[in-house]
Amino acid sequence: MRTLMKVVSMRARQRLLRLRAIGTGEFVALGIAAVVLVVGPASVFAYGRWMDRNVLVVHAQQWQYAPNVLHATAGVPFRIRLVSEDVVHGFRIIGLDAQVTELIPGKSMDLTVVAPKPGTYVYMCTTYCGLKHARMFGRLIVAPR
Amino acid sequence: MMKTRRYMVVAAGLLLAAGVFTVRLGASPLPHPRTIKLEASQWRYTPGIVTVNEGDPVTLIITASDVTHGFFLDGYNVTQTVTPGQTITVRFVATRSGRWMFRCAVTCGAFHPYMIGWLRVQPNVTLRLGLLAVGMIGATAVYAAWEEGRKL
Amino acid sequence: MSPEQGLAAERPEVPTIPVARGGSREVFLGLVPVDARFELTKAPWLRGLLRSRWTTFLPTALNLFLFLVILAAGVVGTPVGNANIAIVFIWILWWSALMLVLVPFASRLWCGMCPLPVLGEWVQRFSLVTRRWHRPLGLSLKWPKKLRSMWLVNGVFLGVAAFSGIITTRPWATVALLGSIMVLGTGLFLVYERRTFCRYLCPVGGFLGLYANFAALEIRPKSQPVCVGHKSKECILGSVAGHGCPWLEQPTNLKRNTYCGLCFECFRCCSQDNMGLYVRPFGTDLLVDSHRGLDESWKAFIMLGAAAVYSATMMGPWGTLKDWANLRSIGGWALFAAGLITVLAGVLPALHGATAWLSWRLAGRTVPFRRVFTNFAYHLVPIGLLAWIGFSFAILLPNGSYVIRIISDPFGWGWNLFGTAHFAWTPVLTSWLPALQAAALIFGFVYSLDVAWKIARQTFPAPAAAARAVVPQIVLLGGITVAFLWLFVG
Repeated sequence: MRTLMKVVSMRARQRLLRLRAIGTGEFVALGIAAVVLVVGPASVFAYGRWMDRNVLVVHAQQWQYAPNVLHATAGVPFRIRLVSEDVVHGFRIIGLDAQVTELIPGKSMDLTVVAPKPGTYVYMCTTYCGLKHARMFGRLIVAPR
Repeated sequence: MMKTRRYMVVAAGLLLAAGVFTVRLGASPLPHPRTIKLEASQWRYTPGIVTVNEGDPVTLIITASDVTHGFFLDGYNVTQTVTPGQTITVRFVATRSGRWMFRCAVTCGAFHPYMIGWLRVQPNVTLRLGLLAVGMIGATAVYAAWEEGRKL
Repeated sequence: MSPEQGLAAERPEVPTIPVARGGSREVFLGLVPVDARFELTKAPWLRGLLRSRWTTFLPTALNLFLFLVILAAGVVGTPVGNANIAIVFIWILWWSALMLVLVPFASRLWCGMCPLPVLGEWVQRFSLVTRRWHRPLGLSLKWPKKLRSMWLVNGVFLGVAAFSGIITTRPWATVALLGSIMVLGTGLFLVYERRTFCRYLCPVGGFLGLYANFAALEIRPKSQPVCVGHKSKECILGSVAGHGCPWLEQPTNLKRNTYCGLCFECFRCCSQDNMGLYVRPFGTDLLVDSHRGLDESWKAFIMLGAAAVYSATMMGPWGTLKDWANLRSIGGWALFAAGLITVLAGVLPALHGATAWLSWRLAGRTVPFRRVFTNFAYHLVPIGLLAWIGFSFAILLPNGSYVIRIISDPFGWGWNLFGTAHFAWTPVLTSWLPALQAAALIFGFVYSLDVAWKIARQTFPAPAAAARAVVPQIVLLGGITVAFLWLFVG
């Protein structure tokens, strides 16, 4: 045991005096780690923002839409992405040609809507989704051009 | 010793044959049509267990009481969507015996993956074979232990 | 010297069990010798591969990337479980891969590429792929002696299991759990030495460690005499080429897989090239009478019971049980949690204790009861692992198809990275499910019987006593198998 300790400490003293040089391998590894830790998540979020540009994302939950107020301009087409957070919902903007009968959780549906006249349109859930299904609605406020 | 061993082998063989024979015991000779009402709700089926005999033509009348659900039957590949207010009829012949899980086929909330019911198609040959295997292997193991125990 | 005798001389930790019929080698299932080993590292390219730090770094970096995506998905992704990579990748893909492939065939290989401790380890070592010769960063304290067992891990696992209904269905809960394990782990790397966290705190590590005893892969020194003659013990203390075993094991003395995380650090250190990777029969370490303990026995009970409770709750038709697990009401959940803990840590151990007591009485009480209780828990491992395999089939076959759409839309935001985002849910081969599960159980039963028999003869050297002692165990194992058969296919 004592011999072991002697051998180890002698070696340790030698090595401590000279830090092992960092080779190119370590830089490559650091690069990979940077990609994994920083570049990866950053680009994921950037891609997400890019995909969501010019889209109004509407979340359907039991028993509300989030957001439940949307704004648009008359005559200008806009995109809505509908996502259900829990169960199958429906979606319909009364007075406009925009509806989804079955919004399946996990599958988003994109709609392109254009409101020719300004005013307030109501959107509501058209597939029974539980107790407060009848109270599930929101307002689309269309401003004049 | 060798004689006893031979008798044991013969006895085991007879037991095995008897077991395999009885595996199909209880199989109903005449198919009997069955109609079962199934209610799908978050997150269970009522009734949770449905029992029929092999060969029965089965009619399931499925309703959903709260949100849109689905129905998928393992082994039979029957898929359906059930919306509240609708009554869906699923018809199949229970050709495969055993116990099959039926599960919700439309995401219906957090516990959707665990929304499962059991369809038992009698006789449950897989179960009987399994029990037979356990019995035979266990008995053989006990016998082997007994044999070993006698050798000092 | 015959090959068998040679192996026994060089590898004394390979279990030799008092043999009833003179002279023959012990075999599993009448087919495979217990001491059969095939050395994979005979191939020089594999030795080179394992000695390279890139072999560990690259899979770990990939897993870290996936884990970060999963963390993000839990925080900002859709709450719909089957549309969120957190749930699909962890509870369908990773869990099935662990139980079906990694544990039985690769021991704790997952630990060698796990993303949870790596940040801590990189900081502790202050490098990614370089061996730097300096003291590790952090306090490098030693773990308290009293906590050096699986008891803590058992407790953590029970706590997690009580919430398994929520954790496996809510992305935020999965991520809260794994994220806190990562944070805690990283913190512990800065306080305690080496992989203390992985060894004594990680809940995944608990069952990986016990079930790794069944695995068909092992790292062992190639030749004991070489280790005995080699004084500098680089594998424990470290050298210029590699760190000392991060798992606080002694590679020269490695008898069981329980705490070997397959990081291959010992391959890098050993100046004698004396570490080898071996393929071996299933269940070999279960026969090794070294450092067995009640903590591992309880782990066996907990895992066996968890397979049953999860199967009943998640795969069963009992809606009320599911409501309880889903925290529909606090009272219901309390019943579920209490029931789970009682069955796993109370009822199963009591059942085991009763049969162990019977065995002990039948064998003539020649051996301390505690030893009988402890030893006999190890033959619950094969049936336990095979029950988990059966359970995993029931997760993978119906729901494995979610993986295909998840890779295109990991957050459930409407993406379509690889064009597969609209791949419909497709259950696969469900008609095979009952047969697969029954077959797994029967195989586990048979293997458990074999291991039980061998452990009995190890515990009670007199063959007659061992034979009497094993009978209650046969009945117990039969009862367990019948219970799972009923749960899975009844």
